[in-house]
Amino acid sequence: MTPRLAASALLPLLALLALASLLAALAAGSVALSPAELFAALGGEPGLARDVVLELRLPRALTAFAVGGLLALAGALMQVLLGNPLADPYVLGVSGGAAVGALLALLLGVAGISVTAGAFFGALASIVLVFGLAHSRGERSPTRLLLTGVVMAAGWGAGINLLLTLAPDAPLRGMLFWLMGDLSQAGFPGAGLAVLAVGVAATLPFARDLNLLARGELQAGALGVSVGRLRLHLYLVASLLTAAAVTLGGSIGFVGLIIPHLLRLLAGSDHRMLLPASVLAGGALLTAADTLARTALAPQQLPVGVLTALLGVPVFLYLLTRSGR
Amino acid sequence: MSTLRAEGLSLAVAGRTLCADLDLAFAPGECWALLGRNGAGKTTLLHTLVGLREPQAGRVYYDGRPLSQWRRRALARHLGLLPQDNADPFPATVLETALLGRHPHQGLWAADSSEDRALARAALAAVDMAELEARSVARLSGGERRRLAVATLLTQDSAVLLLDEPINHLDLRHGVGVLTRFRALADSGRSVIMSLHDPGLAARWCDRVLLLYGDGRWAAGTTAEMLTEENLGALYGHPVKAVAGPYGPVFVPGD
Repeated sequence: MTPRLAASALLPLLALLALASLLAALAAGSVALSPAELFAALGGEPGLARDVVLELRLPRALTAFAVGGLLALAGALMQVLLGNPLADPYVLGVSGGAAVGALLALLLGVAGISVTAGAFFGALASIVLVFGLAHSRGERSPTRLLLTGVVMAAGWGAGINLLLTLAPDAPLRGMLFWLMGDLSQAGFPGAGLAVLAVGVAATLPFARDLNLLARGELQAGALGVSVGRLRLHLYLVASLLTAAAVTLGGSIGFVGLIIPHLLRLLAGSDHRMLLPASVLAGGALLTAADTLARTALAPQQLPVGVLTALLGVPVFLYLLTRSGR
Repeated sequence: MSTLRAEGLSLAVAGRTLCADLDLAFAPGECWALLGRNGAGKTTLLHTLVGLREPQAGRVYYDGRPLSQWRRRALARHLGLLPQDNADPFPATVLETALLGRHPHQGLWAADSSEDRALARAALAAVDMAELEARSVARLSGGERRRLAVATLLTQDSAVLLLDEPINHLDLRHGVGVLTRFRALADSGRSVIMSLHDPGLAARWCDRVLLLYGDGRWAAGTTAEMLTEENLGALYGHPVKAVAGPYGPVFVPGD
């Protein structure tokens, strides 16, 4: 077993990490800033640095943080909901629905807010469909929910391919970028952070119940958890968090899978610690990845989803093989 | 102590009635064995008695109140279930898992108190797992997992203990240890109800028996009344012979 980090040490450590990732995101870029320049700019000293930091980099960094936090939190919840450590926020097809909605909007040549709206309503449609179908005959098992979601995701995947095939060249590049996860359109970060705050507030009171649900529905029920209600709550919250994340940043893979799993390996499965830790670590990871995505091959911007996968896969595999021993 | 009581209880699975009109009280101090064929409804009955499944008809009362009027968490302080299987897809240590039994007794933000820990450690010691408390559950054997589930139930410290095949996967020594432990809990005033597959074990460790025939019929009484060659032959659909053993009757399959 990997040595455990104490929860009391983990959360402050992750908070520092998150802060560091945000500061790095503000300082790095085509106009690189020294720490002194950065603090002067943050302090509101007028000049180019102030405009770049406050109007370009800060909204994007905060959006990246919010999206990373949303994905990691949604991942942690989905894994308990489905009783499967390999579940991720996209497994139930929410991102597929969002992608079809967003691509339709892009295909129709509308931009900006309409793409966001398309993604959001696509995600919502997927949530309602999956839950309605999975529960239509009263039987509610994680397996049935998972299968319904996976089949819906496959259907959405076909829809995505169809739209890409039909798309003329002009919007195609934008569509592909959206699919790979793209934070360059980030505008106002308040919405993402607000959803994240609501998500944490709506799940933290159930953190103890999650510890039990992770041991199976029967055990959780026998130890005093109202399983049916908790599962519905988890499904709705996790789906809405995913919908918000996809709407803001496109489909960004691996954050929701890797962060909760990694934290479980490092510090155990107490969700009172795991949920806030996932938010901080997911936010930090995506902020760092996005900073790298826009600076590594500047002026070329890379899709951040590609970077999270490139960073996440080796770390995950390393931890998995180490803990398996 | 309060009594768990079934009144007019009918159980059906997929439209098939397993048990009809069950009227029975499981009083404190009684140790019940639940016998029946595979699929006769033993697990369904245990889940219904603990309030995790709605009966087809009738009601279950604890302390004079229908289970449906209890809050789930409050009920879990009185009724404990040992499920037939446990899932553990996520990493956790043995001690953490045993401490889950304290859940219904703790507030949301309460850390495990030293009392909680002492209870969990005593429960682990009772199933011979004191040395394993820091081990990951993923690295336990089938029998060790079963003993950990027993320890979690002991940590829950409930007045009624419903056990679904408690000695599944257990070797002889640990099986006897677990049965003796539950018998002692019944003797100290708790109600114990366990499904078993060996009538000989029921005769030795329980004082009452509920037979579920799986077609709606049931019979309940003392072990001496219930555990006859005739009853068991009909129950299992296969002849059974009673043989006198050093500690009471032993039941062997006939031809």
